Amino acid sequence: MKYKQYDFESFRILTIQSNHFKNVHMEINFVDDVENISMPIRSFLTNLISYTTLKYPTKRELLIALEELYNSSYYSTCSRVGHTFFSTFLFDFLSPRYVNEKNYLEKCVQFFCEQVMQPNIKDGKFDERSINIIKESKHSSIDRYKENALSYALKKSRDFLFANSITSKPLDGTHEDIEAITNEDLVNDYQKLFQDSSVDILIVGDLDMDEVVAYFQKYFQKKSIVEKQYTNVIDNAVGSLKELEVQGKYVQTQLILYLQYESLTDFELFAVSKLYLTILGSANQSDKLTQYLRILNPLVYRNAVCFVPTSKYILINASLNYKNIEEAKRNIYKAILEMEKGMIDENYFEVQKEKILSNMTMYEDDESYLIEEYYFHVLFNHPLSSEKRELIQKVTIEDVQKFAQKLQKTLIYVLKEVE
Amino acid sequence: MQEIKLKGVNETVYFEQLENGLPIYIWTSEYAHSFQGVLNVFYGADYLDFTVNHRRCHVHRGTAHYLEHVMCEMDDEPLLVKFNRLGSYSNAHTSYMNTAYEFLGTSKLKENLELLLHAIFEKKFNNEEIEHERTPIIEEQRMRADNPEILSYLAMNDLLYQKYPNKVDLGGTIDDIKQITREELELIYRSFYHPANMTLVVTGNVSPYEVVQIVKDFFKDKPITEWIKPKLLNYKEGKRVHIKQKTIYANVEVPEVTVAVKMPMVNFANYDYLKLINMIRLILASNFSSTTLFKEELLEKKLIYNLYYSAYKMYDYLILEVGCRTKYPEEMADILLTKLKKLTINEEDIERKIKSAISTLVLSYENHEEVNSILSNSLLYTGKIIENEKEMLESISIKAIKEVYQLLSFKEIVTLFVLTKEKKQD
Repeated sequence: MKYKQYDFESFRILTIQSNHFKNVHMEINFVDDVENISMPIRSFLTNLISYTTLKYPTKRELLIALEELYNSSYYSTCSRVGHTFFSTFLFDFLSPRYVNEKNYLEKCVQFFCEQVMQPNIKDGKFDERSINIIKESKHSSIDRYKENALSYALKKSRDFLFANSITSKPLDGTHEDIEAITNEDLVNDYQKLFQDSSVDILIVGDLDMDEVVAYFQKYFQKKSIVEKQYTNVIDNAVGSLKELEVQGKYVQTQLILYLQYESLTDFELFAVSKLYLTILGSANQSDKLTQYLRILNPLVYRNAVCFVPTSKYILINASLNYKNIEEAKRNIYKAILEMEKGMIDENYFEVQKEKILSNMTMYEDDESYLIEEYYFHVLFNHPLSSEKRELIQKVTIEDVQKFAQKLQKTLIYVLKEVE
Repeated sequence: MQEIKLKGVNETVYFEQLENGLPIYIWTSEYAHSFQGVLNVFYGADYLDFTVNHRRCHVHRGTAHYLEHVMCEMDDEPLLVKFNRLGSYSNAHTSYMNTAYEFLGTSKLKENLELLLHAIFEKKFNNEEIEHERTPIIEEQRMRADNPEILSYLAMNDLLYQKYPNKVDLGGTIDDIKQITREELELIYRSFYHPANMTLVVTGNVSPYEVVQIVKDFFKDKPITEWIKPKLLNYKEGKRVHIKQKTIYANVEVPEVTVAVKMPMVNFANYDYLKLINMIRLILASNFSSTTLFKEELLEKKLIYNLYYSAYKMYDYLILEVGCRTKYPEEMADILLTKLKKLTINEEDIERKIKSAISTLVLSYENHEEVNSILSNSLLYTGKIIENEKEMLESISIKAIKEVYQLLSFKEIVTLFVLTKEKKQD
């Protein structure tokens, strides 16, 4: 695999050349500070740009064009990493080595760039039909978290704990936000997207990268030069422990515990945390939480632990019968306390280290993972796999213990099952 | 070892059948960094009644799933923990037709394979581990009881079928789970967990010869027993649907409506199943996919949020389904029904979709987990590896599609409404 960075005045291109993949994956990322944009408008705009274009004024026509291009796939996503907002346009297509068609690669790059460069704007306005369809779709999807007990509990607990933080703000906004978005807002935001955002193009596949980069130079234009440093962490305040129990409408009770921290070193963030999380709750049934909540005490079918470094918290979840809630809490506390005391078997510790390294090896089969890792290395100075491996090798039980001691329980949220 | 050449995609699947009847299929990739092994047992949640040695047997619903849990319990520690010690990930799952046990690793292929084989073929049951799993299984079922997709699937089965047992969730009811006994679990294990009733599919950065040797070595001192194939009860499902219409209330934020048609597979007796199902899916795609004017108009009129369609075989019947999320379920039920009865064939659209399907087929032989899934499913649903899928897709003609279309019958139709719980309270 060959990694290469191409820097141009108004955008840069990161490439990974590899003959491992039959698919080619490309992304155009528009990056901005969250504080510099309206998230609901930017999110709406991102969907709108990938919905129809001047050349393909209906979704149907766009999809037919993609089918004709050997069933390629073009779509968009929005994401927020700390204070940084990404509007991402993605294009996946069959590697040129399987296509016997002249200028196929150039055609693909041209197609991709046109989608982003030529939105469906006529007489200074976006196509109203497309806006209406997206508006309906957003209204219908905005409350879908209520269809699942865990999603509901996660959202409501996050809203409570991070009430005044960006952490709890949904990218799509509220029904009111969506309703208030006008055609003019979207046209203005499209100008702003090209004016104020920095642009990073990512490419991974079996391609001559110099050739494909030349096509991007030909078909992708952006005039403004934006040089910014982006922040990928939100400094949420760490308060004292709160407990909140609310009545739900679901069959099963959800228990969520939040652990927050003030600060971590890069070593803790990229290496120690992995061992902490694995040993506490994600080691395929051998972890402490599963031992205490399922193996030694059959209380739950499912428990999970999740690390959100961009908002500086770890959460633990268990889905269970309400009658077992106190016993489950006691056992979760016990597992956390053992981590704080460094009660970890040395052999087991080494096995988990190997498991983490093995997982990293598996990720190397995933082209999206590879390119994202490279991108975050360039954008946020995150270590690459090779550096992470070295860091993980160095982690000791004492490091994990120190990490555990930095964590503070800040919220126990219980969504009680329906009577 | 036999080499099965997959024509048109330039791939090879290696095949060896052991003396004890276990078939092993292997696909290798020099680029993969990992490997996956899946042992598929052809025993699923629907097989509740059967005859073994002229003895009629019945087990509670949920027994297959309960057994899957118990198989993952071992004397000293759970199977998943043992795989974790090897640096591998493992899992198991049950469907209506099968139970699968799998691992995913990057090293120690021999240890991974031996552990899987040991867990499945040297199982010793004990009461403690059986009882231990009862509460987690109940909690799993309680979790599924909140899932609108599962509720909708079960309700649709209740509409379509009079006799098939798939109208109750595959894990069984809480009462079923409480009543499942060790005897039932052992009966299923003895009757169905035989190498001849399984497939082992290994994909990734492996050597086919090494895989076969490891498996052969594992079985070399083990006695070979003949499998007395249990006779599954034929539920004798009638041609008619069970109930024509039903409304359920679930945790959905937007109502859903699905219209489905039931037709006997015997109507299509002259067709190869894979080709048939592909042709029917093309007909549906040509009428309901995102490249149709029909869907585009419904979206523009704000009648729907999405539109989905599928065609599949359920034992002796072919089912066609079309559904949507909508604010207007009753109006949409009429629209979908009318459209379903007047399907059209757009030649240009179908020819384009055939080319798309070929491209997808080529791309699918990139990821070894996806290849494992393709091979395992092919063996489960057709009993063989499809060697000429590309040729089959290329051979589909508009004329053949029109002939299949003539055989479709829309007499047995059902409609399912999934409404919000708040609506019920109104």
